[in-house]
Amino acid sequence: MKKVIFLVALLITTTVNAQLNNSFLLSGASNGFGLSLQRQVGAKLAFGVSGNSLNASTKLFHYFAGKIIKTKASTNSLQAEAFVKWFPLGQNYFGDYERNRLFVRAGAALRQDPNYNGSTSFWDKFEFGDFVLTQDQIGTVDMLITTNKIQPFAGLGYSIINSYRFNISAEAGSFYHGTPSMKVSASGILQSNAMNETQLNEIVSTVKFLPYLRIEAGIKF
Amino acid sequence: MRSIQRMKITFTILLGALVFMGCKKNLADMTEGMMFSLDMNSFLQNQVQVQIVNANYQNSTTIPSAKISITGKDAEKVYDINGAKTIVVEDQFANLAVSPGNPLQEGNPARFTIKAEAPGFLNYEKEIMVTNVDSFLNYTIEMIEIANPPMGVNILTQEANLSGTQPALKINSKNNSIQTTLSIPENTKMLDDVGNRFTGNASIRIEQFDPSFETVKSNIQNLIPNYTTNTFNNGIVENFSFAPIGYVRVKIDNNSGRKIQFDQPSQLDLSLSPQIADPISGEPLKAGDLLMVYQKDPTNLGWNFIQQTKLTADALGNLKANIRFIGADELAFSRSREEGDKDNRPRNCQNTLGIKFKRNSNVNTLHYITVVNARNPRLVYLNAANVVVANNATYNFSGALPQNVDVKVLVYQYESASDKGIVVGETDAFSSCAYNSVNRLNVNVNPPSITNNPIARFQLFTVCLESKLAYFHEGRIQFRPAGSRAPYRDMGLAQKTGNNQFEVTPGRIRSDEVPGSNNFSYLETDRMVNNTTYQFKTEIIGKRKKDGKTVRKTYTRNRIFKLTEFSPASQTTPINYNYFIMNRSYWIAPEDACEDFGY
Repeated sequence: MKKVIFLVALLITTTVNAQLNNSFLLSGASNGFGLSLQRQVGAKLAFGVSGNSLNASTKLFHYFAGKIIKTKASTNSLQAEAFVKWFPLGQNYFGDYERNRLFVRAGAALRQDPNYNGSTSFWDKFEFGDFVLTQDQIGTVDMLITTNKIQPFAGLGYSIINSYRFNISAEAGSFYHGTPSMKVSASGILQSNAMNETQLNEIVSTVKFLPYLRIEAGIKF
Repeated sequence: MRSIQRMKITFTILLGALVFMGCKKNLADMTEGMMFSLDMNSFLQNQVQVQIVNANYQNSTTIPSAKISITGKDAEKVYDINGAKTIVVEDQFANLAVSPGNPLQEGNPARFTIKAEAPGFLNYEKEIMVTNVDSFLNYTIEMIEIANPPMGVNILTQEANLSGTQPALKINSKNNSIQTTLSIPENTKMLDDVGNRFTGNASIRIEQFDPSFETVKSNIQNLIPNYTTNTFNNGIVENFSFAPIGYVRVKIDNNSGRKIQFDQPSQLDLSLSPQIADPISGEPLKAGDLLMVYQKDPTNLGWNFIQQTKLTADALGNLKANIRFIGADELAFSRSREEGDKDNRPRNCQNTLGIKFKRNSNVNTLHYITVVNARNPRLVYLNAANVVVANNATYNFSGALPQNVDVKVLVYQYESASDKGIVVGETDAFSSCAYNSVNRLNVNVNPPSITNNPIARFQLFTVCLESKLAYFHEGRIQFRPAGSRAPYRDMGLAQKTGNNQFEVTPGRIRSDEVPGSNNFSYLETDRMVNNTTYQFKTEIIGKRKKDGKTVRKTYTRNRIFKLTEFSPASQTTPINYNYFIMNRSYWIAPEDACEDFGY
């Protein structure tokens, strides 16, 4: 009971003294776009939650065996995060915005669909005598990479603007998504390439961390 | 303030380094240990390989320089293996792709006829049926050299000037168990199929075929176009087992390209050796037997009964018959002993025989099989070349057996009648109509128990290390004794692992440390004799780098089959059996294919 009273008192005190210690932020990151709600609970500590939507795809082209190969990669997931921020240079009073710029963030993310899809095929037309093979006949090599649903993460950030009312920060870090596993399936004339599943798994299983870049901008209230 | 600036710069560098190190992965590193493959066989699901040989290769060095054409119902579905309509014959082999990229439907097989023509050889036509499950079919076309035919075939060509005022002409065929004398009346002219009469030089050729020779019996349906066993008497279908004792074909050619016959009846004097036996009962011919003469009728795709004549014996004991010959093309002679009741001849079973093979290994080879009289195996009722014999493989004969005879099935060592080897499988006797395509006869085939040859397994692939391309060999691989000019024999079917129920023994993978996966094709054979040098023929179909064209390359190489180079192994499917495994794929497969393809 004493602890509860102490915490309530602390909350009231910090609210009164520091005034704007809640933040509402929009984030754009390599792991998606989202919203973040943070609360400064001390000169060196804040906590918060955020939600992201990651709907990303990309196309890669490379040259192989005299042909141009196209790879489409995509992932689509909602992600919720809970985190703690530590400001190592923070002072014991809240008005020192200048010194409160560097922070370390750590937390855990819950990914609704922790899968990455890849699909590779010939981009060039593929001829066989009088025939031009259709896309179905050429086929694809499809890869499905599965990672953990719960992914701890840690990052190092810096507030580029940290004024009384506004905050813009940049951050880099990494998620730990466990040991990914890959399923490979292939079709058409590419069907034999599913044979590389073991080798691909050996490669992706070493990639246990997913780096991220995050830019956050928001207001304090 | 300066410390803040320094911090900003440091942080920016740190951020960049983190992202760069985390995301960038060199593609070459990523593909280390991987191989890539273009599997054209998934596009070319139904392939037919044709080997063209001289039927009398034992006695003739002439190799037919054949041109292949495709006719028939589904001819438009047939392409050369390179994807073009023109069929290319290369080193006596032609490879066809049936309905490439457009899989055949179950129950709707493709039917077409392969016609082979070569100067100095009889034309050869083979009807082919390819079903949706026929991945790799192999056929040997045994072409008959006119100047040097094999046993059982006699060909005589005579030039004649049919001026319309010439004297009578006699052409005697070569002396053989069947001998023919064609008597052309005086003043005979040529007549084409629309009734025009011609005079001039003509080449008159008499071809005789004696089906008591197995090589003739197995090929007669390919030598007589649209061959059938349907017979008609005055337009009515007959019901008996049509088993001719001989065939004669008269061809008249005046280089006009038209179908030519004589404008008046001529006479064929037939002389038959008393050694000739009835093909069904095995009884030798004798004087007084009735000879039923049939003529091939292209209009009803059957044989029309044209004459019945009684055989007489001459002083030498030969049996004689005179036949009035009108028209051209083929005559067939059948024998009946029941005078006045020609319908009292052996009839055919209503069903056709279906068989299922049981084999004690994963060997999948082609064989020549016959159905013979159980008491007299020289009487061959049915035969088939290039039959796939693998465990649980099935085969349906297209022809029917005669009723009420005891028969047995013989499986020979190799795949053609002219090179059949020894019997490696034989069933017990059974009644000719007892089995059909649903209720099949089980035929056990275990060649090593007869030949004592080991079962050898090969793991096959070609890897182009530089470009990381791998080719997996599929289909049938041929071999023959080194230095031989005999037709190549089937060595077995190369199959990809992973795409079939048989997996290669885990762990027994390549020993040559080629990077890549554990995938490869494998082939089992029981046809090779230890310490014998063989010539192996393999093919690779792939994209040529310089022009992107799909090309087929054929490779041959000589190797001594030494069991000391193999490792003993065993397997439990389909039963426990031992084999010897060769881990070095390049033992058979080419080493220079990568260079050829530009990879």
